[in-house]
Amino acid sequence: MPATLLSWIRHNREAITKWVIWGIIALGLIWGLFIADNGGPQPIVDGIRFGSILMLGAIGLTLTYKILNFANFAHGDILIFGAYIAFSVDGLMVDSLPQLFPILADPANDDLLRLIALFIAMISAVFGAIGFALLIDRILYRRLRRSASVVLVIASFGMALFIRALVQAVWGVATHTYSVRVTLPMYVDAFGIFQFRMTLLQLVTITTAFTLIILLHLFLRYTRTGKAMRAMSDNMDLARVSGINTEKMIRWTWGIGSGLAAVAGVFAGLNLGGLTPIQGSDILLYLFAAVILGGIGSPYGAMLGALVIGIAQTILIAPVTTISSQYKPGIAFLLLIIMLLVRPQGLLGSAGRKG
Amino acid sequence: MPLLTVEQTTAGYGEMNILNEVSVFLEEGEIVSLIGPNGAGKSTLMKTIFGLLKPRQGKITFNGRDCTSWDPDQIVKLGMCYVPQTENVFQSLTVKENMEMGAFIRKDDFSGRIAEIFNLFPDLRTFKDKKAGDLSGGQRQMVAMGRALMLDPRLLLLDEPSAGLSPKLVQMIFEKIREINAIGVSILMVEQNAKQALALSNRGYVLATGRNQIEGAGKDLLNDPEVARLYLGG
Repeated sequence: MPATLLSWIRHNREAITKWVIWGIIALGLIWGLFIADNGGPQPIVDGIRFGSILMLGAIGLTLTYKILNFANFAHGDILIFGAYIAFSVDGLMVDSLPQLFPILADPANDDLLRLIALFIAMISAVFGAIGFALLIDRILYRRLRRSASVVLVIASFGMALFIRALVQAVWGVATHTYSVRVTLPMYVDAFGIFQFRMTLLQLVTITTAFTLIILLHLFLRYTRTGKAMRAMSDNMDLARVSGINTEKMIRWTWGIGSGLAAVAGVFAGLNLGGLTPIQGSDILLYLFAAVILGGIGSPYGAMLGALVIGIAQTILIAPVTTISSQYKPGIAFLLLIIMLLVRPQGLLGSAGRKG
Repeated sequence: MPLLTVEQTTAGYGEMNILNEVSVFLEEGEIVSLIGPNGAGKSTLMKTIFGLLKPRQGKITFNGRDCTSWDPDQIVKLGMCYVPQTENVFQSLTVKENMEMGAFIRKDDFSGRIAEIFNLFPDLRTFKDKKAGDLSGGQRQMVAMGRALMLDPRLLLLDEPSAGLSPKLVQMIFEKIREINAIGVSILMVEQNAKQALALSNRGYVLATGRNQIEGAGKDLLNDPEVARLYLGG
């Protein structure tokens, strides 16, 4: 009997590892929610907030990996570039909107003015980041389409340094914040046995991220372009043979990835206490951790990985008050290392396929 | 005038020429087989015709139009579709989505065409919502051929349609090729199963080391002692 059990384990090793990982995630959630002294829903809600920012950023990274076949090290800097564009537009709007619409000049409408300014700023950031990413593709990556992926990785690394320097040159190295008041208004809510606080900002961050993700899912699942993008990430040669215009799909890939990254950048600036030029490279490491955890190349894996990392960071640290919260980032990389050791293809990735 | 002509075409990768001045033609309505040993350049010729590899010399015309060095997404618009030998389905897409990708360049409603394909391959209708990667080898080959037929092409290029299939399935695939041809699609195929392919073909070409060796009617090649000695295993 033990011999058959042993061979069964050997045969199903991959599936077993996968379910053990899922089990650990579930246990972690239960522990954080019900058992840990300082736990409860609050750390989980905080984790979802950070996770949803990562989720928006991770999509672009995983899409470029799958479709263009390289790890884009400049993605974090595109994200922060978008956030800085939003910063400039935000300042411009706060100054100019009251002149255009006198009702907004009324101090009573101050919060509304700042919210509208931020909204316009975020839209501008999305278009700014998309335009910038398409320009970079046109100038740099397009020439390297047939190069080895290591060449593209190094090129993207150079591009990352360039964008960071550009951001420093244009906006300086000091911390910038958006004009909206992030702590107001405060929501206190109780759901049954769960008690947690959520600011309007947190609520907006989480709902916007999940709305965009659902829209992305519908796009990939049901539209002609979305299906063609999936087809292309599956098999680039067959997509060309089917008459799919691959260059056009590559532009869509950049557009979606960098547009979502810009939204992530603005939310990062709002939620993480301001913008600095080096934030891009900091976030990039989390994004890689999320993407690898979920299974590199899989958009749904990236979403899942981002949430797991966001939540794991808070629930594994928050209950143990003796650990400084500065160790939080360590959790992401600990998970990354464990995952690479036991299941390098990630949670939703499958072994043996390209990538 | 032939539907497809390949004249004195040379192509290859890097420094190497795989094809050396190969010439092939196909009349409308024909089934033409390319046979020959491994490394003879049969698949390379298919890729060159379809624009996946750019020829160094020579000329390729389809339906009277010079399409030498065109890109595949332009060539499909002429009415030529191609089924590669391996990785010829979108694995993570459903069977139905695979058909939709085959019709990508069509902007009108092509649900009628999907129904026609499913009539040709009734198994596919049963599996239409399954992922192509989860299907068996024979079913996958049907998905691949169905995808390529979505545009109702005049010419279908098949690269080893029977590779890796059981003898029973090989029989079935050849039967389907005959059916597809009967509805008016010309076929150019590369085959390892040379005997069966030649029995089905109007004409055949034997390639070796990237050159034309022997050409003739399918039945004649089958009975040619030279061909038999070299490629049909006696």
